[in-house]
Amino acid sequence: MTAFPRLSELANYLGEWMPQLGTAAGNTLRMAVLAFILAVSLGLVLALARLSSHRLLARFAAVYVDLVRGAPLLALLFLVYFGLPSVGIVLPAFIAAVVGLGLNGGAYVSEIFRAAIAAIERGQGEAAQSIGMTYPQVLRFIVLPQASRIALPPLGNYAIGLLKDTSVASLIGAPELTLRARDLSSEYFMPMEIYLVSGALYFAMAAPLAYAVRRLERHFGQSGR
Amino acid sequence: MPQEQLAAATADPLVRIVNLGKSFGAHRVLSGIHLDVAKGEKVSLIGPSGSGKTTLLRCVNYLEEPSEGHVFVGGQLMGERLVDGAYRKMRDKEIALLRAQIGMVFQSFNLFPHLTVLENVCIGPVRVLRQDRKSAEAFADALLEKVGLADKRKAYPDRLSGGQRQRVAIARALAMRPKLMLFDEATSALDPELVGEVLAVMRKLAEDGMTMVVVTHEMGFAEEVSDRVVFMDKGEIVEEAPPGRLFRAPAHARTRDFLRAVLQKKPMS
Amino acid sequence: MTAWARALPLIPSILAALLKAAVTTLEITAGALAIALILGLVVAFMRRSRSALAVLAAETYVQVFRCIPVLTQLFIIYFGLGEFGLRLSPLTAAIIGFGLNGTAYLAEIYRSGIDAVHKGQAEAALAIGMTRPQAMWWIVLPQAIRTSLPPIGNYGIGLLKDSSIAMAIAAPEITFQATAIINQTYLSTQVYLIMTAIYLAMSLPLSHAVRLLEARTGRGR
Repeated sequence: MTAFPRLSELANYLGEWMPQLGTAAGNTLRMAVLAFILAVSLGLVLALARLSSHRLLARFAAVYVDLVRGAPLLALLFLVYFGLPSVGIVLPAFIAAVVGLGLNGGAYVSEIFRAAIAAIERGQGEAAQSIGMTYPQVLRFIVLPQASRIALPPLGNYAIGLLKDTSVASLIGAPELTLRARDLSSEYFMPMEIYLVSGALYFAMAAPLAYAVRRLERHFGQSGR
Repeated sequence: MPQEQLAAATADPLVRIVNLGKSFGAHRVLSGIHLDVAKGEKVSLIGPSGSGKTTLLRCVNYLEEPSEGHVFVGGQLMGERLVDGAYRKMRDKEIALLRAQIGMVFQSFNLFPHLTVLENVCIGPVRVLRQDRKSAEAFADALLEKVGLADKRKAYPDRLSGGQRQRVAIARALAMRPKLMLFDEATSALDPELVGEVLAVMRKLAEDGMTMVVVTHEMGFAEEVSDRVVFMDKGEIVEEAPPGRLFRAPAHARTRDFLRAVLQKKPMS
Repeated sequence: MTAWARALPLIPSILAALLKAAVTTLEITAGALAIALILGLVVAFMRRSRSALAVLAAETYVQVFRCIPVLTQLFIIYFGLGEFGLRLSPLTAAIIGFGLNGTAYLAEIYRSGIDAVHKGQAEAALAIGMTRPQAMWWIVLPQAIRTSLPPIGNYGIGLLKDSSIAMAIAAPEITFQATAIINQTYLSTQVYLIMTAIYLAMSLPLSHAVRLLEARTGRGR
């Protein structure tokens, strides 16, 4: 048990920690952005696969989504990082984290897209088909542009969740904010101070995103529901 | 009952509305309303939509807070208290106590969907009046009998027709043994074939001597049941008269225009 | 694949050990959910309070907890409080951590549930003489909770999976136990697959139940 350090002392410590934590926060952001791109691409593919008339493809997508959503993110990360080497695929921790977060996020994002597409289709799919468009045309020109608007607020919420979930990647030793905080905490024996600082850094990254999402939700409030 | 007799019979009106005004922001919905309702009297409020009749009704039981003026019910100032010459808003509890004596029936029924018909009728007496459940249920059953729904006591509102729901809502209000009943377009949300059953219950209530203030589009009902009809337009009372006079010989052009427009669409019964 | 051959006879004992740890997983989930259900309601009420201070405190709570990873919260409660002499067991720390984190989410769920109740319901309650708190308690809240049940169910399922993170503070739940077994057997793929299967066996039926509940409450309105 240590006494709470005086403010001046804390300022000194902060001077030592901040550069390291700042760099690590940059890694967190990089990890989140890469995983987000992977998740949105995969999510779009999965959503379209579930809508496709190809039975097997639709079924595969549905099973993928159910399984991934039913399992913990941590389990997926462990399987990617510790499991894939047994079939000859060895990934560095950072890449494994991006892949795991992306595979996991793809399932969630596909559900967001699916709900958005369903919301538009109910009203307008038939109208568009009745003016002679084919189904892919309807999807491409009528449904998707509007659906992506509806999907924006939930995608924003997903991004916030993803940003926080990158912390779980520290458990496979991926270099990011929480791993750095853990290292510092075992070096300085000041876990409370260090984790509060890392928490503040997460807050600084997530809060603007949360603010933007709330603005979006209010903006779409009338039409987006 | 002619008004002069009523005034003689009861010195103090049951409802007295004095210089009532209401604005929502810059939008003025009521101004300069004076209206007395004697005990036992039935008053209908008619007028085009947006004329302020619903807002006026909602001010009577303080669901809507007046911007100016006062409402007295049974001699009690609604929602405010005079303290050292200044009006102060009552506490939630005191307002609730006053509202408990005034029944209100809404256009959209507003039955409680998570409660059975019997529970809908009982919840006021049990939770507000603190009656024991047995006697509350006995009275509720009597009221359900009166509105013709004794067999629906265990049903949930979503199993009832609109007309049945509105009759339950009336029973729910009566369960509080109110001294005044307010009806806010009680039949406007109903399919035409269900209007009759609700009006029948209201008519019975009127015959029992209940004091009623009724916002309605049913001109036939207003003529038949009311002692007095009040025509409102643009947030003001344009004229008030016994139904015979107001419907047959309206004094104001605005009243005439309104009646002509309404009666053209729906012939008066 | 010799690892699989080696794993095969061990599967019963691995399964038994993981299922035993599943009890801890359920303890964390249930304990945290209970805390969140109650405190979430308190925070939701605070947000509707007339006191500006209470509103500010509640809003801040929700925003802060929603913007910080639950792992960080667990570290603060377990390691951070330990630094100041308050040593909680990993299990207790996990329940408190997930409970406080869940409070922010439940407050949001309750809020949208309350907002979804038609305004006429509270008015009808006031009209028969209820006070505002009575109208909330007897009329609005029961309906709000009914519409909140599916999202609460989904949150509970999320919690069940997220409790795996508690391994980071050595709470003896499934994932922690799995890692311990791997440290002895070096059968990482096999053990993690069995572990994942156990999570799926718990979460998939629950998801199905929530979907049924959703369909039912959807019809009931």
